Amino acid sequence: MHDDDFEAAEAWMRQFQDMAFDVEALVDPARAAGRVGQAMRRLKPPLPFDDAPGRFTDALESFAPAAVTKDRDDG
Amino acid sequence: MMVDGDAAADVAGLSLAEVVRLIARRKLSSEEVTHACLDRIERYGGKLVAVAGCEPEHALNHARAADAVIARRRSTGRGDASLLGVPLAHKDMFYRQGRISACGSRIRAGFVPDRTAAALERLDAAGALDIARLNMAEFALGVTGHNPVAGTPHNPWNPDFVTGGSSSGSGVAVAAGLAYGALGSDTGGSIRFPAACCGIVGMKTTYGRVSRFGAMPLSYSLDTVGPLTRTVTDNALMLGIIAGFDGRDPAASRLAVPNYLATIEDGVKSLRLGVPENHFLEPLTPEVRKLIEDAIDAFRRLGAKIVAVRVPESVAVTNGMTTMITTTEGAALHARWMRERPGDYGRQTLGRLVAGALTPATTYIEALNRRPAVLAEFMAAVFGAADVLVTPVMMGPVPTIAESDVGANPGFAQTIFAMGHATRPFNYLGLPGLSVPMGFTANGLPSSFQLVGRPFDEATLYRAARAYERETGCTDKAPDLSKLA
Repeated sequence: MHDDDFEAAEAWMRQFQDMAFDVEALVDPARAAGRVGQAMRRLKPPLPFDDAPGRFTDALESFAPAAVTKDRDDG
Repeated sequence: MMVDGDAAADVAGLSLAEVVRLIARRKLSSEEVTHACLDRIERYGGKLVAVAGCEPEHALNHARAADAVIARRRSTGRGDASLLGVPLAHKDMFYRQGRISACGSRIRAGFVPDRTAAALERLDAAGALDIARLNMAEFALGVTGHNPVAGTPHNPWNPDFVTGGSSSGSGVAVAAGLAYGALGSDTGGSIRFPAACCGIVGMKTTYGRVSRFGAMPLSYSLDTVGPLTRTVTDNALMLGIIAGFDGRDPAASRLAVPNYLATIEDGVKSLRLGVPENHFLEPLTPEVRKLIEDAIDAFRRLGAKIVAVRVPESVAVTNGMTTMITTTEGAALHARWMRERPGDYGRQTLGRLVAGALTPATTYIEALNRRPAVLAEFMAAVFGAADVLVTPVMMGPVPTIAESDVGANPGFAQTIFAMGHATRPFNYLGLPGLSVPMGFTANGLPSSFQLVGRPFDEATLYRAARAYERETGCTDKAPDLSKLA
């Protein structure tokens, strides 16, 4: 990213987040977040269009060993 | 009865399980062990910058009340509550109604919550004493333990070195014998880092296993609560008490809590221990590599079957996605104070929250929505071949406070990112991870491996860790605090 981009980010923060920080405070974390976004978008397969996301705890429970899943606390 | 220094050291050096047994048999009173802990808090708590608050008379009154209950129950033949009269202390983010919870911050320095944390309620019901609030990284955002606002704790093995964070005071207090166990929280490694840096046992629980109700939130999607203790058995004992369904936490699981102590001595014969071929063992310093190879050899001797596993490439992105989710949800929680009181944050904390405020909403949502698929891929690749995965906690030795004081200097985000290489993936995946001491590096500081299991299978991690502990005595050593006195 270029210095101009960070000035734009600073203006965006001020206008849309109502937060005021100097450019220096934005540079390093913004670069790190940008790298994560790029890497994530390269993951395969792409997100399914039609499936609504579920509760993550339910996803975890589906992989729990049988010895654990035989009893539930429904109280 | 006031115990003298040496007696206090002996009593405070006992394990949680030993103290439970001795109090129940009336070989020691709760008042004696509480005095011993309070004595050490007075002598070392300030020097180690570990304690955020302590009311000795209040703690002693509770101890005397516990002793009275024990005497009554003994005379009537009734059983004891499992932690009756045992002094614990907790990270200063577990709320207790009417008591300050400062969260390692200036912003909440005088905050008095209107509720008590679910984990504290369960420990209270088991009869445990809560004798001190423990220092922590500001708002639980910090992997090294630095805290420019509330003070940076010192490692009890060598005060020049970091404690790990964010449950820094919890790691110090347990290792230094100020309390027999402590609660911590883990969003990216915040239980496992201090456990590893301070040479104790720390459990990052499965997401949904322990209620977060009444614990300061950082990231609703990732936060977990777990115990830090001196031994594996102590850890299982504490988790057995705090785990379980709670309708006040929307992520809480209804799966019943196993009796962790019932299987903890079963050993590792025929257990498949997965050793990663990629990602988790790179980049590893030679001395940490040697320690982890020795640990794997110990498991082999114990009868575990060592299997090589290749983790999916998507794991490489999970560290970053964890960081992004944490800072984005954190920024949403902190937005009001970021606008109104930015000068009251430490620079690094504010810098990380600012990163969250910059995250595009679509990127954040995509990171969350990918979790089930990334988890399924990981489960098939790793737990199709293994029962437990072993990784390091930290890729190198514990750093000094001075060398790791990155503040908000250029590159700080990369430094924080690198430190979570082996821990943050399991927050994204929601899996349990147990930090277990495996020896010492050349600087004299502890180093730990991490055992990772299937969701809600903390019992197998305890079983494996206990077998290793029995074989190696890995939790036998305690730091020498005499230089601090």
